[in-house]
Amino acid sequence: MNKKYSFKDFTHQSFKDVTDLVPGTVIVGTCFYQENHPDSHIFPETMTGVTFLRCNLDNVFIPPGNIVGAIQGVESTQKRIKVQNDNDDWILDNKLSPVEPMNKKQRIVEGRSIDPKDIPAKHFKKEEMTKAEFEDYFITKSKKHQWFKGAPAIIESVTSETTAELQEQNLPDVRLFDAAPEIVGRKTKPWKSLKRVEQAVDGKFIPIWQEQLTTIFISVKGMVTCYKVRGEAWLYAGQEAEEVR
Amino acid sequence: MAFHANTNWEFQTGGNNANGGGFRSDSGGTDYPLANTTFSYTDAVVQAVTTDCASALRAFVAADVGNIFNVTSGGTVQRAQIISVAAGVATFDKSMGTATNTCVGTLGGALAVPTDALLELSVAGNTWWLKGAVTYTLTGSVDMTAAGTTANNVVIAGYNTTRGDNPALANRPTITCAANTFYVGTSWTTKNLIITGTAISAILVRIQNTTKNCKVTNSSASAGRNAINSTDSRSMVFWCEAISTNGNGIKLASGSASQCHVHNSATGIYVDSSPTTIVNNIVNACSSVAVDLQVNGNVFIYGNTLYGAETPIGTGISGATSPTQKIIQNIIYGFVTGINITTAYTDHVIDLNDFYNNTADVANVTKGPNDIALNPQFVTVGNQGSDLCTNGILWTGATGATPPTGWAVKTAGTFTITAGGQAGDYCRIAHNGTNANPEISFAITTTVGKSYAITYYAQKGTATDATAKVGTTSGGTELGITKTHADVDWNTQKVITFEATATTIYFSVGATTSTSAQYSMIDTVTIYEQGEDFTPGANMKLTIDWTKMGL
Repeated sequence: MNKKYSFKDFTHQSFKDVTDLVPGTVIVGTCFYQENHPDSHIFPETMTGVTFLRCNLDNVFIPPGNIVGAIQGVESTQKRIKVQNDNDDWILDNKLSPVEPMNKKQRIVEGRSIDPKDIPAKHFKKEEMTKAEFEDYFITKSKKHQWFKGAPAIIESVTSETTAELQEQNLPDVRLFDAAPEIVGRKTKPWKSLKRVEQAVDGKFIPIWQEQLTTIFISVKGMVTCYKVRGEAWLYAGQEAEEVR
Repeated sequence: MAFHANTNWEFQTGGNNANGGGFRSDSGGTDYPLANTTFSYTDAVVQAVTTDCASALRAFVAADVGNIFNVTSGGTVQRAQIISVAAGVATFDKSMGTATNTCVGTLGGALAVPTDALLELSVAGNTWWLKGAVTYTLTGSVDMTAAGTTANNVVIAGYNTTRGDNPALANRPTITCAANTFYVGTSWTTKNLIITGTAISAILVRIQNTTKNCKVTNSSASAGRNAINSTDSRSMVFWCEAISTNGNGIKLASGSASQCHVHNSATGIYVDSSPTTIVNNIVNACSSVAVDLQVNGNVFIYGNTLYGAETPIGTGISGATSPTQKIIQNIIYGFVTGINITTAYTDHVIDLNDFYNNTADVANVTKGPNDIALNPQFVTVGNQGSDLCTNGILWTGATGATPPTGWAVKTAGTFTITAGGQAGDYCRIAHNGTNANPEISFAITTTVGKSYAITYYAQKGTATDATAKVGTTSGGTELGITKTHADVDWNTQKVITFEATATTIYFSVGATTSTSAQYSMIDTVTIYEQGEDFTPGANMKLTIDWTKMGL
């Protein structure tokens, strides 16, 4: 066993120019992972006779004439892995098509698809997803959100104005996010400049409090903060106010 | 039947995942995994009572009690624990197969590396020990459904030479995950480990977890990934170090982070649910935000040192509004904005903090009446020693195909000292008519584990953009740091911070272009080692006078 190269973390590193990977070298238990670059050529093209045992060689091209194998009851791994349009890491086949997510168990528990056909066709910039794409992708998730009265919908690009009117005893449409969305812009305006103000009677704006597993934003009396946010959101189509402060 | 709660499992680099791997600590037998002692069986015959086995080649002995036999063929393929031995016959905790089956397998011995299948054997009270300051490389994802209990966690713990010796720093074992997940189950304790990876979260901990004395690094080039992702209000991240090069050092979905050091991340501590407690942490060298509160709810931020840089960068505490945030007795130093809560609430509690060296102490909120502005006189912070980039200002030596003195050519180009830089002349990096994406690099002599800060100015010039990378090779991005700049002026200083993983780190700059003569512009490069002793001086005695706050 070569001590210099065994039991090390060489993630992201290249050994293209080394001269000591000579025939007979045995490397055990080392990680050579190359993120997002399947078939990375990180070893000398002329390298032969080197044995890799229970190593992480994901995304690493091993030149012909070398051995990738198991020892101590553990195989080496030499998968192709790349981030897909859903922002998760997926195992690829030899044509670089996604086969299975790396976080397969977690996705199953969460009811998320592990079928590569459900990967969005476009990069998962959520504001660009269509409603159909969204519902298709999160079809199982939508079933978990029975407490939504309105049909869930993807928000393409939102300036969120989370206000409500006490007088009319209803809540306006609001957008509820499964996770905090990225804020890509914001500004605070006097409420009179906002479209909804025309319906307000006394100008009171109420907080809409955090719901289970959601994050929404709060406005305050007299001023309303507008957020331009980017994220997967559910459209809550509005309902009669039940409990507001 | 599950293994006994008092079972200790052992990983050693000399182990084997085909070994038994576990031993019940109160069984009275001998802990074979601890010493990596193995006994191979080829003739362990299942008796009429199928929990019993006997071997002619090696009769079972009393010392075997409590050890685990990994049956790989012959009988039921499984791990089984010896609960007693009498007259050479071992009684196991489960049926070994059909009478007269001949079990083949290994009794005792340490395991080699954690796998999902092994860790799923856990029952409440079990401890998985990893021995030595060595690297354990995962070859598959780990995502635990096996759970402990509130009173009896499953523990995965590193040790150096003796179980329970609680090693620190580089004396801890390393679990290298790469793209594999390392997600632990409900009621687990993870401690005394170094964990590295690039997955969405290098480690994800769930309900009622404790993560203690771990250094976790996520070196992914993808934005928004987490080093430690703690997902439950009853979970605690304690005494840990976290780095996520392009994401969140610690992500808290409620719960607490205390006495942690979070650094060299885009965001230090990211909070997206409440209640959350952030106490006595040091957060420094985070390029965007030290503490990002994307939550409306109870958040208590107390006694932290949040440090941007001597030349202010980013935001100290940023995020959504809430009337229930309490930000008390923190040192908030070296930010463009110290605290920026998007909408002010009059009943925020922001008080008794020390704001110093911030461009603006607060935005959208009002400081408390007892906030102070006192130089905390940290022992050793900011730039240390001399500028490690010896030719990032004057650019001497650059002409034609020759790079500036001290810099090396990664991809050939035309390099010119040109007037009109951010300060004096700048270095123009141009396409030479042959090679696309010209690039030069500067080798920095570093100390592994130390933090460094690179500052520079860049313009895209006529190229698509200017590029900057940090890696362990010339032109490399091994540290997960790649920047592209489309600036058209010198107005914005760029800052890159990193923790050295090798004794030579390369800072590479270039131009993205495939068109002859197109160029990018780079100037005023400085590289300094960073001090990280945030012990405040004697003048800093922030004592809470609660009566002043009306609490």
